[in-house]
Amino acid sequence: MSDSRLERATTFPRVAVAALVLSTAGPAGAQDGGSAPAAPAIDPVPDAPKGEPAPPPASGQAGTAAASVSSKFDSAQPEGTFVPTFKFKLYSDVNFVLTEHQDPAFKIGGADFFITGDLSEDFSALSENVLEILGEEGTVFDLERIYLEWHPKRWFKVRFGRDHLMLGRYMQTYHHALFFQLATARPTMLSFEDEGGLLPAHQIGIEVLGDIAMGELDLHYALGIGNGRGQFSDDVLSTQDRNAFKSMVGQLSLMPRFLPGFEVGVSGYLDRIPPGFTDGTGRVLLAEAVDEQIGGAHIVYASYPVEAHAEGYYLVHKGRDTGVSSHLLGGFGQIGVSFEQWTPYARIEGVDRSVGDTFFNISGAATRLLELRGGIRYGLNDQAVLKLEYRRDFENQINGAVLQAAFGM
Amino acid sequence: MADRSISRRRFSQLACSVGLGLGCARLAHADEYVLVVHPSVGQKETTLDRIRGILSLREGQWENSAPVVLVLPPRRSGPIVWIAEGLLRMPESTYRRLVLAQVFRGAAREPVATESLLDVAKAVASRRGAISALPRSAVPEDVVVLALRA
Repeated sequence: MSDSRLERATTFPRVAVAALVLSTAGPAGAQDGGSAPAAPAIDPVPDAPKGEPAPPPASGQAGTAAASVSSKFDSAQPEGTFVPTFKFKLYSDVNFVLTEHQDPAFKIGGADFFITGDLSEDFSALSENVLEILGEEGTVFDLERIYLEWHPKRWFKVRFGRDHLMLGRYMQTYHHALFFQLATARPTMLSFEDEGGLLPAHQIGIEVLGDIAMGELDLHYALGIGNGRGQFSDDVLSTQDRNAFKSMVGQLSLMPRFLPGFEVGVSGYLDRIPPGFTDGTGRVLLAEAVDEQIGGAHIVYASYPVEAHAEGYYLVHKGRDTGVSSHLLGGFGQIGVSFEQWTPYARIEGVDRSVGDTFFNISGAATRLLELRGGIRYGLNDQAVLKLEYRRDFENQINGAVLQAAFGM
Repeated sequence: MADRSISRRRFSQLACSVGLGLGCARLAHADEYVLVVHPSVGQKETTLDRIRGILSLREGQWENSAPVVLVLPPRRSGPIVWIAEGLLRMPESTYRRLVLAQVFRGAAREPVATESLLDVAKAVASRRGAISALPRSAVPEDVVVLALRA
């Protein structure tokens, strides 16, 4: 914006402000008519803090706005009229992976198509779809999350659709995009079903959640009911169920207002795994229905400059006919401390499960895991990060390293 | 209200002393900026803890259940630096990543991005539940200044 135009704006505020609206908001601004606020003192270009160099032209640095294609239309929304919005973002990552006893390789992560829509003041919708590259098996386009949310009150929201299970905090906070995650990969235990995860990650059904103000504390609750597990880990039942029993999940956590980012909570999950899984020869491997019970606890402090997160789970599988029980105990702890754009971090994870758990054996899940990761994350800008990480698998005595660039647009 | 309000100069001194040195030079000018909200929010003052929850989108609804609509001032502008470094004590890029993360987890609405402070004033004035920051000297009549109290 030139000085001469700014001068005109202060001299003839209403006319000039209208002209500025047209010049900065384009055609959308024209829908607004004369509703622009009469604010002649406002500098129409970003003002740099004193002592700072003047910012480059705004047009070349839309940043977050780049993906929010409707932002100009949003700002042109007349008072009292709700304009439904539709926003699209894409997240992905590229990696260079070094693993002991394997050839070093470049690896492309999935392309995460993330869509949100505000349907009305009380309704919104969200969808996350990931284009995954499976190597020689080609690519798949997976619908990971899609739900309609009704949120009439802060303490009462309802989600209807497919979501990541409300178990612990990692599952609900870090979805498929690695851009937001501290390390280069999810904790193995919390990996998704098709990546060898041990816990159910998706729920197709209904969830009720909210935050209840209790003085200086917020009580967060979540309750869900859904289809539950199929006959093996990656048998996620999006369009049918294999038994009448519905999985149930519940969560309670406390968040003190005087310590933003801190949360401590517990979760529980109940399901009945259907029998009948057969191998390639037709032999039935899972001959009986299995009751699944999961209990978990989490403690999180997600703030700046410290980000710390720990979760632990205890899982029981019990045969409905034989009464044979299998157990799993696992968890992780991670911490990162930021120094401006640099965030060194570390994570340790351990899992131990019964060798005879048929449900997990079908998927070839490891029986024991002890892994340490340490690395550093560098924020290239607000939409791209670079991570360099060392990994030690103590169980298999394997070292590895990953260089990852994760980004969004 | 005046006696309960935090002096922004006092706040900036405090934030400067505990904020790991972040943006101390910029905080010296903290008096220049104020938080502004759409009149539908129904509040004229709030606490620093509460506003931190709102600005970081950890809280997605106002006390009257109106959805929080975060209007992000232009990149590297005084108001966004004041929000990020002065109120939340983190670099602007970290703050923007935090906002993206809250939207990604489904906990908040997509913020409104702006390219000028005029856009900020216009967006706050026209969107129910909107919040942002503006220079104190440039607050239009159709938005409400939100005072911070202890």
